[in-house]
Amino acid sequence: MEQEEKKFTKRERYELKKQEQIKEKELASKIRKRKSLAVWLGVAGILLASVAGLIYVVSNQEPSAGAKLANEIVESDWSRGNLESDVVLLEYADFQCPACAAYHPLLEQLYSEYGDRIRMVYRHFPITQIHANAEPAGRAAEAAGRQGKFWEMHDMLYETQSSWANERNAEDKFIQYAESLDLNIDQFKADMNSDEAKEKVANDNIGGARSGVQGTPTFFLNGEKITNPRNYDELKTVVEQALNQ
Amino acid sequence: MNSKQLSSRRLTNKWIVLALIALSFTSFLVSAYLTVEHFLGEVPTCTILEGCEEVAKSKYSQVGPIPISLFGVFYFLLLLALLVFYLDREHEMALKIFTLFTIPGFFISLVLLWLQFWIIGAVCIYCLIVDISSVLIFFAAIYLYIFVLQKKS
Repeated sequence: MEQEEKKFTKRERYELKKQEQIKEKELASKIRKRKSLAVWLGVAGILLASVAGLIYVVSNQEPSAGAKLANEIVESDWSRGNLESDVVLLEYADFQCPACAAYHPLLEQLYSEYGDRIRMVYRHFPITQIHANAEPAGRAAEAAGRQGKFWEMHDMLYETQSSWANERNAEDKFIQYAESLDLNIDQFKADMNSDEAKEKVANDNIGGARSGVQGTPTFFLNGEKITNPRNYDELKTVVEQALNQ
Repeated sequence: MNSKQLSSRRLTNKWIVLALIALSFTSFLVSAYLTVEHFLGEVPTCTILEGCEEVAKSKYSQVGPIPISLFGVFYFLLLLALLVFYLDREHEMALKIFTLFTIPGFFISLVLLWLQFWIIGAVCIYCLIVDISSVLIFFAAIYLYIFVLQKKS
């Protein structure tokens, strides 16, 4: 071995050492790059896992039945049926929500069968994040209500939901509905865009959020949140139970 | 400055960067939570302070169709990336850019705090966490910036 080393000239030994140094540097740079990659992949992994975990947890949150209604029923709430009844079914709903439209016939049936024994209340809970026309629809119902036709507009909005839900100018449609309900159009337009209508929808919305409403429709029976009935029979059963208490 | 002082300063420097990472990560998570809640059409549930509903449902919670929390997600993601880059490469420019970005974050947080306390009249605990974090991040970044400059000089 020593003999072999002796065979190299001084210059060759220098070159050899230089090459070794270059190799060491390359190795160190490779390790550093790998370390960097591991750090960035680790950080990206942690962030992605956290966001995925959040989405999973939030979307699997169980709606809590039994929560209490935060805001008591007041005169400005839209009520129908027997206003003196002790049994009050309150609905937080969004006119653009397809599930609310699906519940509409059930509630109509309930009203025709139990309207003389229970009080039914409607409050706005427009999910504006996904339903751009829900808030204007709420204001349209409020404006119709000023002329004594809240429930007529309420029914019409649900029955025609698919024709205005994705309209760019849904308010034009609402004006057409107001015309078909024989409302004073100038008054309707002014009321629909009034601060009072905006405030009413917004206050209902905040009250719903305070009461733990997470989606629509959400029902409160005598001030207590109930699990959404899956069909008319279930709805009828909970109302019957409340009436018999 | 002797080598002992320098290494002690470097250690403090590293701890501050790690604390900044922790604050940015927490704020990122909270902003992501609020964004997820927003797009799922839900309202964040509050346990410590009441008022999340008012704040989350107020007109100030979004810019057009975009929730403010989404801006927070990207902002804190950017801060995190710059901090990790600095830790990984020890590139001072990353720290300088980081400090620069904390300035608008600081002022926006002050505006959001003012909106909550004085305009909306309700406080959202999640927003409070993010706003206070932004303020702390700003002061820590300024300290670090001055410290890095001092070290350089």
